[in-house]
Amino acid sequence: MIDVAITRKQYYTGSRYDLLLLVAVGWMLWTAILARRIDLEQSTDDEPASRWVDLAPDWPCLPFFPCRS
Amino acid sequence: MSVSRKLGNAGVATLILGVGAIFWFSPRGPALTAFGDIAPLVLMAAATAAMLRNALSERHARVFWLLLGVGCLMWTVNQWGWTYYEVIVKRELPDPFLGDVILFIHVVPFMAAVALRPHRPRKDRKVLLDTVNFLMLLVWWVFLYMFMVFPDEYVTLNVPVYSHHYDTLYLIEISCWCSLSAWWLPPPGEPGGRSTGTSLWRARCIRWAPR
Repeated sequence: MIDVAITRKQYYTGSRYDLLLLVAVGWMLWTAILARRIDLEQSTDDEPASRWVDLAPDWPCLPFFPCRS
Repeated sequence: MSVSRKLGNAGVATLILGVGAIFWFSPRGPALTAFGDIAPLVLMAAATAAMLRNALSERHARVFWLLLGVGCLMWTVNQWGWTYYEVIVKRELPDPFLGDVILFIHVVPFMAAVALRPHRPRKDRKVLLDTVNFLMLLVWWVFLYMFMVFPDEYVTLNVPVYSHHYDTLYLIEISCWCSLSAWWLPPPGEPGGRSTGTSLWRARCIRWAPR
């Protein structure tokens, strides 16, 4: 959103667009802090969510070469 | 909801409204520019520190937090560039700006972190494969950047074209990350849904895309 505003010459540092940036970064900070307080347990579900989900990490490889089975 | 939590939410809402009022009503000038540069810089540095601290203390999701920390660190470096030029040197940001490359690449560790799916059991995870996947992800996005943005940015400067290509590619990159986050990470309430804060992470990235 800010990049588009920059391209349209509507953005300047301290403009209202920066509120979105601050909220986003603040949310990330809050997530990292909160993660220390909540109970961290891994999923007990051993089954893959779907075949497509398991294939998804490989898609960046496709343009180069078939990299892994 | 407890009283302390209500107070906390009210405090956060008040803070956001206050900062919003500053951005909305303050006249444009050096003070507003400094606030607009330094406030995100401080928050990004704090987020980097918090994530790297989680990487040190969290055994099961160490790589997840490490990748998030590295992404945040790159974001902080970019923001430091903005602060350096606008607050310290008091000059317009150069165009092209080296920080744009860093900003573009900083999403790659975020993607790799989500791709790890840290809520899943670790028994079938292979470190070498994770590393290869991360490197391939990095090479893929760098390749796209070199192909679409670099020629008009550093070979023959054509600002309107490279800006348009950069914005488009960055939007695609952020959309990929948000979509993959929404798809891979479990919703709250399901097994693993609260693990490592990933559900909160998903909620965050669906709503906001970083600069």
